[in-house]
Amino acid sequence: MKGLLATFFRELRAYFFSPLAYVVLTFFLLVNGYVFWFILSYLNDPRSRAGAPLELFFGQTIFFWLVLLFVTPILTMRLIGEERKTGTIEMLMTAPVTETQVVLGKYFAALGYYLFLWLPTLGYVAVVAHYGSVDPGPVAAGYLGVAGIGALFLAAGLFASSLAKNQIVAAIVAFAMLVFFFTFGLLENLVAGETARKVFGYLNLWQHMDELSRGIVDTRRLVYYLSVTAFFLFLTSRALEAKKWR
Amino acid sequence: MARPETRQQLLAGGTLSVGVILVAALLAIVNYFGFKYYHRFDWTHGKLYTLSEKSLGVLDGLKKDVDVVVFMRPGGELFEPVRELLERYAAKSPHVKVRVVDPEKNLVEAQQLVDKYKVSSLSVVVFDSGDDRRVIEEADLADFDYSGMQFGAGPQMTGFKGEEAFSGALLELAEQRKPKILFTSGHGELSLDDVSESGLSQAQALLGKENFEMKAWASLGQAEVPAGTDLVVVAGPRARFAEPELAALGRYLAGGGRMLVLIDPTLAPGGGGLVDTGLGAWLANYGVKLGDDIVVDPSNPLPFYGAETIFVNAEGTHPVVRALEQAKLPVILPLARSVSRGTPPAGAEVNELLRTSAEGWGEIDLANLRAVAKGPADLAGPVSVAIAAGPAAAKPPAVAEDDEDPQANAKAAPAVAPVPWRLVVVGDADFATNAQLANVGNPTLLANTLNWMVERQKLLGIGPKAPEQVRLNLSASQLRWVTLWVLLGLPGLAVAAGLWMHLRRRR
Repeated sequence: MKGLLATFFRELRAYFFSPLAYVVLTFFLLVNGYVFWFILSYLNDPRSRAGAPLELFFGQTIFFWLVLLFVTPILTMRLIGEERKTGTIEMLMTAPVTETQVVLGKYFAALGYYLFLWLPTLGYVAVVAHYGSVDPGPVAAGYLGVAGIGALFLAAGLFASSLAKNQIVAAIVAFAMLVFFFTFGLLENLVAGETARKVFGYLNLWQHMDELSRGIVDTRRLVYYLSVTAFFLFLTSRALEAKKWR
Repeated sequence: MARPETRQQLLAGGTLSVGVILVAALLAIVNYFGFKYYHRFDWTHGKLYTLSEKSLGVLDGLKKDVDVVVFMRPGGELFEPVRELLERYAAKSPHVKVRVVDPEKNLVEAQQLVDKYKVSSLSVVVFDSGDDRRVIEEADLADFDYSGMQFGAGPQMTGFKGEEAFSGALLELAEQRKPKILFTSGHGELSLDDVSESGLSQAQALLGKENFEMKAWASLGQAEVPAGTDLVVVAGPRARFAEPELAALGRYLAGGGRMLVLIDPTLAPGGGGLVDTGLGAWLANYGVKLGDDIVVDPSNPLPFYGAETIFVNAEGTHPVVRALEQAKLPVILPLARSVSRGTPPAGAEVNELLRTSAEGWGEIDLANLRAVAKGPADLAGPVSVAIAAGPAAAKPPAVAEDDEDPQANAKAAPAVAPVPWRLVVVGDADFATNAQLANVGNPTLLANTLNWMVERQKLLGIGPKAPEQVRLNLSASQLRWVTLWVLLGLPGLAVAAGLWMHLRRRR
């Protein structure tokens, strides 16, 4: 536990001291700010259909997914790849910490920074509450979806980082994996067979966020996010272990 | 022979691979069971996505499998609410199996199911259990507000009624009971078995597909309408009903019965008037005024027919005629009499369903029908030719009861509140005969009338739920302020934080 906490704080500090973190934060807020402004402008038009702004904000536009697909690989790309490139991985591996502690420490730091990115979006909730009304349940469920899908994406990104020495390669591999995750479930709308449709529907992240943003929390989604996250973290720790005996 | 390091590497690699495979298998197992056994929580304040206690009671009582087939295009407005709602049913009961068939992508499957279920529209939800089924049309699933169309906005869904429709269908399937309809006989009425042009055999076939159980009933000499009757139809009587018969029908209505009266203007032998069936005075007790006239409408003529064969349009948003009104489907009435609003009894309401144009009238000079002309004594148009009557409180018991105190409504709920009487009177019976039933809106009128009259889902008292919608009304300055805050304020703070951190590190 001590090793895990040490790694966690070390990585978290690295995030907040890095200029890249603030570039990412600015980009993140610009894009999400634009999406939120667009939704408000749309709903403010008397010709448009009425709708809940925060429901639309959480996952109902492609921008939401673009941000997730681009930002999470950037957050994870340097986590292990950089250690390997600079050679500090050898020191880490010989330190009195296990691979699992290293992986979890780095992962939770990335998750912590990711959740920090979303913190300012509570300002959007305040705007809607000021000019209209907010049902806190669906908003909480929306953030739960953001956390769940983010957790999954970051775990996949961390695994990609453990495979590649170069940060850019790690980011590209992670991006490719996430695009696969995102688009795979969308096949639900294209396949004809009932079983195939159910399988793809289970994996359909867009559908998940659609439900969560409306306040529906389905245990199937949580099982999926948590189990796949755990699987990628396991793979990452095994990848690190494999470096020892190679 | 491999060197010791290589052997060790192979061993480690093999162990790692086996470990990964085992964890992958565990991942698959966890997700399989997670998919199979799940729970859905509703975090909305108004419990928009929670099944009412009444629906849960229906699902508790469901002991056989029900296949629910959704024939809908995924892009449609009702597709998602329907899919989501059915997910909730499936999550609560292992007997509910939901299948979605996209009529555009699954052409073969859709065609097979259309043949199997004999559905006429590809926007329906079918509840199928063995040899019994219920078909729910998309039009019965939601209420829409069209008022925004004048500003260029599309129709706005104001209430989603899927739960009352689906739970009603499940309740009927669970009870294995078909609505029982009795057609009175003994007064020259049209016959269900008659295959001639003036018979009702096609109506019988049509209503059979809707799962109605129909029988002729000789009412003369019967003290009461048989128990368990969902609807009594009087179709085209040509002779007088005896007082005891009318009294029995009155008691049936008073006890929550439903009656459909299709009554032609039958000329009395010798001319000069219409046959008195005794129903005119009886119907007056329920606020329905039966005219002794023949309705003509020269502005709505049918080619090759006389002025007395008219077509009429639906009036208002009553469930019986809503679909006709939305589709702009007229109903052809070969010879009709006026049926208008009389003085309803206390607590009752009467709604006109079908009307002629303003140029139509009710011709009362029945002795001189060869050259009809509008006279001062005639009933002026637009003339009503169909009426629905019932208690004003006949609407479903308020929505609030589902949410305010679900515990109080509890599991016994499906058995439900007192049944309100319903009465529909149409001043023509011929529209339902074999010769006329296939015409434009005629089959829709007949099927919708009977569906509304026996509608058990209404009896469950599950009200429609309003979708969560917010109509923002920001002024230009407010929107400008929001724009500055979200596009400059928040990103600006991030830039400032980054600069501060940069300067701090340089020091």
